[in-house]
Amino acid sequence: MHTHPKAIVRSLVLLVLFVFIFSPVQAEERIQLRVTNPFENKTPVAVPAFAIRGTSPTEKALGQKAITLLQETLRFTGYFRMVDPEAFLEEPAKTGISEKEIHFDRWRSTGAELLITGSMTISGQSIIGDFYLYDIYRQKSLFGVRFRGAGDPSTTLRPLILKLADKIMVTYSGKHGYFNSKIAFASTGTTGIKEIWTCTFDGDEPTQVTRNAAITLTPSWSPDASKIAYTSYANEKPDIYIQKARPGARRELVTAQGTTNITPTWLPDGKNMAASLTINGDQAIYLLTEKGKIRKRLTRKWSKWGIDVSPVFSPSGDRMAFVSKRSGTPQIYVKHLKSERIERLTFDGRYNTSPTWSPTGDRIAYAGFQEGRFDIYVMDAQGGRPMQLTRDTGDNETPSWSPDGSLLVFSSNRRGTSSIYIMNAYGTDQRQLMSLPGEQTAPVWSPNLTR
Amino acid sequence: MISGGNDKGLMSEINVTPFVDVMLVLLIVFMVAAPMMTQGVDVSLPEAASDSLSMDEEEPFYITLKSGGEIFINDFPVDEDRLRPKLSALLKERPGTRVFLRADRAIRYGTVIRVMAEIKSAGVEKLGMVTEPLETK
Repeated sequence: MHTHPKAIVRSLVLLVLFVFIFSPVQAEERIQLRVTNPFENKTPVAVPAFAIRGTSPTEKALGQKAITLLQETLRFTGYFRMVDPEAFLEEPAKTGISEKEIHFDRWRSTGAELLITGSMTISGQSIIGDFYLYDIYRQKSLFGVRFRGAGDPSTTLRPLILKLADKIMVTYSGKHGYFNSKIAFASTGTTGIKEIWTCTFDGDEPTQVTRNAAITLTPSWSPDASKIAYTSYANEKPDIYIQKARPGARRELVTAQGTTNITPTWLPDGKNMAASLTINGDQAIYLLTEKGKIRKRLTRKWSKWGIDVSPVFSPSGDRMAFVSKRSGTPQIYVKHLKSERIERLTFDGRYNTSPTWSPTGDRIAYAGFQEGRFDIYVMDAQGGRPMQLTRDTGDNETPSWSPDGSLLVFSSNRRGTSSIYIMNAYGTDQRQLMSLPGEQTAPVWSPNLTR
Repeated sequence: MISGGNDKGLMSEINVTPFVDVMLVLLIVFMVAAPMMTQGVDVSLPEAASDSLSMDEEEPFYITLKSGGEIFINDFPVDEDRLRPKLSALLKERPGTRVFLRADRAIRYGTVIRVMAEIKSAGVEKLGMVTEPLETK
C-alpha cells in the first residue's frame, strides 16, 4: 500500500506556502515608474565656463553672462538640471575644451551626464563661439559647432547662446526648441486698460504692442509670427483688428460688420482668418479674408442658445475646435472641415472653454470649470478622458502650447492678481513667467520666428 | 466500469507530479537565496586586518589625507575649510554615495578625527576607512 498522492501534494503545498509566508525576504518597496513624463528625471548638465579670447573686463563679463543665460535657458526647458558649480571636481577655468583634454572620470564623479564646453572670441564687432556637447558616460562628443554673431557683442550674445541651446535641444530631444518664439498676452499694465503685450519665450523684454487706449484682448499670432490679430473696443464695440507684432505699428480693421466681432484666429495658410461674428443677433463662426470679407459661414445655428466662439484650427488645417453653447452649457466641439462633421469633445463640467491645439495636432488643451475653479486640462483630439494639469491653485485659464509641444503657457490668479505662468505638458514645474504691473491674461505662444 | 484500452477515457485529476517538481525546485532556490538577500553591512570604522570593503557599482568618493596635510576629493585638491561645502554639494548631486577616507599613516590621529568630523557634518552617512591589508612577515 502506498500513500495517496493527494496527501503528499497537499502537505507540500502547505510547506511551500509556509516557507513563503515566513521567509525573511519581503518585497516592501514599491517602485513607481512613470515613463511617459520626460521631465520627471532631469538630466544633470555641467556648464563650467567658456574660455574667452579677449582680455578686457567687459569681455570677461560677457563670458559669464553667456554661461548664466545658457544655464537659465536649459533649466527653462525642464529637461535639464544644472550641476552645482560647488560640486565640480575640476577648476572651471582649466577645463579642457576638446575631447582629449577632458577628464571624463572627474565629471562623472560629480554626477553630471552632459558637459558643455566652449570658447568665445569676442571682438568689438563680432562674437565667434566654438561649442561642444559631451556625453560624459560614453566619453564622446555629441557635437561641436561654430557660431558667428556679427554686430555689437552685447546684443548678439543672446541669439548666439539661444542658437546653441536649440542645437542642444535638437541633439537631446530630436525637436527644435522654441527659443525664437514669443508670447503675446493682454495686460492692464499701469493704465488699467487691457492692451496687447509681447515678451520672449522666457518672459524677457516685455513690450506693449498696442496703444488703442481701449480694451484690447484675445491676441492671436499669424502663422509666420509677424502679425497679431485681436479684438478691441477701439471703436465703442468689439471689432477685429490686425497689427504688425511690434510696438507702434498701425492697426488695420479686419471687420466691424457684426454687432460684436470677437476671438479672431488664423488658418495655417496665413491668408484666411476665422472669427465669431454676431449678425442679426446670431453669433456664429465665419471664415474671413484678412480684409474682412466673409467667405463662408462655418457653424450653423443649431439651437436658440447656439452661441459659437473661440475658433482654433489644427496645425494641418483639417479640423477646427471651437466653443459652443448649443447644448445649453459652453463646451468644446471639433468640426472636420472636409466632411463638415461636428463632434462634441468635452462632457465633464458645465463650462469648458479656450481650446488650443498641440503643435502635432493630436491633443487639445483647454480650461474647464469644475469645483468652483478653472483648471487646465489636456485631452486627445479624438476624444477620451481629459487629464487635469492644474489643481487647487486658483483659476488657471487660456492655455497655449509652445512650438515644440513640450510646454504650456497659461494665466493664473493663484497669487491674487492674474499673471502668466508656464508648466510642462505633463503639468509639472509650474512657475510664474514674469512679474509685471497690472493683470496679465490670455497668453498665446507664437510659432518660432523665421529669420 | 473501466473500458479497457480506451484512450478517450477521462482523467479526473490533474497530473500533479510536474507541479510538485517545480515547487520543490522553487523552494530550494528560495531557501538558498533568502540569506543572501539581506543587506550588506556598512563598514564605518577601520579594522586592521579587515575584509575588503564591499563595492557597489556607484563610484565612491575617496578623500585622501596626504602626509603633508593636503586634502583631496578623488584627485581634486581642496582646502580644509572648503571640504564640507564641496562634499555636501557633491552629495546633493549624487545622494547616498559612499565616502572613503584614506589617511596617510604619518597623519596625526587628531587631524584624521577632525577631517572625519567635517565629512560627517557634510551629511555623509556611509563613511569607510581605507587601510592596507596587514602584511604578515
